[in-house]
Amino acid sequence: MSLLQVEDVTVEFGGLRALDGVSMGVDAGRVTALIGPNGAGKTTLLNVVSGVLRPGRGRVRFRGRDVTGWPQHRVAGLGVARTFQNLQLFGQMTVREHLLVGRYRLTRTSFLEAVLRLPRHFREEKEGREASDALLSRLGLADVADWPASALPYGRQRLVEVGRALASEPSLLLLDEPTAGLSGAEAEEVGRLLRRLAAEGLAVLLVEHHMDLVMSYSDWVVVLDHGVVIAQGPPEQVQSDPQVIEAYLGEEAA
Amino acid sequence: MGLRRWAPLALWAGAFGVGVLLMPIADALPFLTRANLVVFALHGIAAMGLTLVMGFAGQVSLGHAAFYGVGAYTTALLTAKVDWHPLLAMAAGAVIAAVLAALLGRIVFRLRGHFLAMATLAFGLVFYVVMRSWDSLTGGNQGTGGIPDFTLGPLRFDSDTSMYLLAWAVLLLGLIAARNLLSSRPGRALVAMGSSEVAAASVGIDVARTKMAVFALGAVYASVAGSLYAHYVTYVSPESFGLLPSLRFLVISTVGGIDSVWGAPLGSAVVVLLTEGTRELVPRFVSGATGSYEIVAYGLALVLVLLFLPRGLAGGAALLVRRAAEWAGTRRQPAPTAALEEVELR
Amino acid sequence: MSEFLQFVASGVGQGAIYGLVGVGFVIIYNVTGIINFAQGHYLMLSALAAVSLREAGLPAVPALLLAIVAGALAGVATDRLVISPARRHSTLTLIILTVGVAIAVEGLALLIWGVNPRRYAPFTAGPPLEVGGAALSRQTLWVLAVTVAMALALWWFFQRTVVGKAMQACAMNRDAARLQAINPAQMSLYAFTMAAAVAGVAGVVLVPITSAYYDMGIPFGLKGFTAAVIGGLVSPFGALAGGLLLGVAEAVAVGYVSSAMAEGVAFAVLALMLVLRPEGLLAQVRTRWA
Repeated sequence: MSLLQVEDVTVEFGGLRALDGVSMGVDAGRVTALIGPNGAGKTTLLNVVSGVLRPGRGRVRFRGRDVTGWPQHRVAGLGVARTFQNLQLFGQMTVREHLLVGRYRLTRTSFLEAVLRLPRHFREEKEGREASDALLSRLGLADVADWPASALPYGRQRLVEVGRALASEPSLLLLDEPTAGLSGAEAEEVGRLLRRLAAEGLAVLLVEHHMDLVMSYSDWVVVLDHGVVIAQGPPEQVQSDPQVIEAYLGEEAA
Repeated sequence: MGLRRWAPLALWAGAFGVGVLLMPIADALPFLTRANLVVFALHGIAAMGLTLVMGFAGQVSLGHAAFYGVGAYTTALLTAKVDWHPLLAMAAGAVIAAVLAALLGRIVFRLRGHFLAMATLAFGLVFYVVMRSWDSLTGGNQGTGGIPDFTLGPLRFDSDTSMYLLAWAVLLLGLIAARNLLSSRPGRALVAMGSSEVAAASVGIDVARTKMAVFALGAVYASVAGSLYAHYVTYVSPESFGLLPSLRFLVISTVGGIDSVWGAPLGSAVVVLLTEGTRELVPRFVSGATGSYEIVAYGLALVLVLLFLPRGLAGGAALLVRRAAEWAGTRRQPAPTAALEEVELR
Repeated sequence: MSEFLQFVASGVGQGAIYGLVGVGFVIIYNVTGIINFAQGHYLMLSALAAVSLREAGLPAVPALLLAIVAGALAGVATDRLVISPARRHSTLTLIILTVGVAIAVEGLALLIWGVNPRRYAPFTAGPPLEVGGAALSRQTLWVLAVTVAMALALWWFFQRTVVGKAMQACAMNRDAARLQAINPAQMSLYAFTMAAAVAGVAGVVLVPITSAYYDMGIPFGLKGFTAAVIGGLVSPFGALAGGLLLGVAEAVAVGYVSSAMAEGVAFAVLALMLVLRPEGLLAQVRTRWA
């Protein structure tokens, strides 16, 4: 039984089928890549899994639990973290604050405890700071911890988003094109990070355009085209699948 | 960190001191009365609540005066008619305001931006109409009076000066509470929600509940200020809680600087001067003038500040403080370019 | 039944005015994404200007036309002086800016015209006309006639002129419109000008019915917005229909309950619409303006 189980998910936007009976699974300790031409429904699937969208049909199970149609924050509360294709950083917050917000689900300090500065506030701030600093070093962001995230170059802003997601200590990480706009070297860096995370037992679901990255860093590849899964398997196998080649050639020809 | 951290408190203390010094001679100065020094602090408290709602949580409210009114009317009715202790009445007002605001937040939580603005505007007007027409409870247009002085143990706040001290003390408490909140888990959650609801939800923040909470919090600030106001003027009528007062809070928050808790007191000082200035000056130029001329000044101040100083006076002041801090300690790490100016004086 | 008809008759005039103000909300919102809080204030400016121009001795027709031009110019000023320089600011800033414009205009009107309401004689004198058992004032007929004329003019403008079509393109997709060499800044200027002019027309036909006063901008603005929301905020014609519905609902509430209820009706309708059906009652066909 996979950690995340997507069963027969269908999503329609005003008569247009964005996803059509998609079934797939994501396992702990593996990097699963979701690829496909533009408009194939990759982001839509991430939105369904993370609770942004409610599917018209089908089920989403996380750790065997049916979370279909749950609101976003409850899904996140179970340990499903994500990043966004168009960066969704918090305006003027510093990099470290982004990570502290990421720890929201792990902390309990209430309004009253915060205003009155009760012990829980100090305890959780201290824990949060230590955990964030460790994560910042790991992501190579320690030198800019107190910078506003918006002041960073684009590539590092993407890393801040990944950091925010990881700060919540998820068991499933959803990444929507984490390497878009990154240089080749930076993308490689992200790939190696994903491998290490998977080695620690995290389940990673990656939407990616960068084909080299997918082929060298993922364990399992799912190919979507027009909202339908046309192939899945290990990278080498998918790479030589005639249907996949056709879907991609079709895109390049167009 | 030294100067940057302490400058705001020093500013607060300085402003407080200036107010104390001004108190005996305020009535003799142009555009200033003792009453204004008190009103300034009361409006500052209420507007601070609006700054939290609007500047930090990103939710527009054009009906903030309604919550000021809830505090004022609750205090008026409970202390004048059924003889409750002022503190108890103030607490009751705060609870009612918080519940009402949370309900409003619950109802309008799907609305964003302009629609939320319109909905809160309508809410404020409904409150005003209800206060005006519910004669048996509120005294209708005439309002309701006979509100006793605020007391706290042996202390009786029956003069401008004592009220001034009380209002400034509450203002300081409000500031500290806001700063404590903003540098903590729930405060960061509401700022996150204000920036990106979808990203906030992605880390487990319940956006609908957070909205209710911040509306309630803002309402508590307004309600406490309203309660003090009722004790101070001893008489409340709907005029003080209608559209114009709601817009005044908007002007205070915006002109002061919507993304700083120091904005509200700063803005409040400016708005008191604008209000008095126009009230005194306009009749000199326009014969037979009566009416709320300050709205011209409010409107122009809003537009000019937003166009030329979008982060308000607090934003401008923060920049000056930062420059001073840099000048005083050039040996510290150079600031990473202009963007750092965006995070000041939270 | 005849009583009800009478309420309808007295409601349609006001309702048409709300509708015309609502048209302005729709045009500006669709072209620029902004809800303009000063929308009712153009109506106020034109109404007061009409009174003053007439008092200054101008004949009726030029006085009314100039008053409409004055309202339209206020729209131009709003766009050029305030909205245009702030186009890249956040929604929150834009909202507060239009509120600022609204209260500044209201304050200026107070300075110029004072607090007392100003009266203006009906366009044509004479007793009310009997229509199907209900009395309809002559000015109400003027309001309705002008509203129909405006509706036709708007239809023609959006369907038959290049600028009108460009504005519609902007409304459907601002980015795509930009690709077709449609200049959004220019469209915004047109939108504000038209919206203000339509509100101005509403203002001058309204004065004889309600008189004109400096703080009429916000109530008429809110009701115009309500009308627009009933119509789904997508179509000028939806806004007109929404205005008529709101006007009649108000008149019925006043007739059967009390006059204090009138304000309440509009706000209650607005609250219900925003909460239950933010997409509007009449917006089944969403993409077309006509």
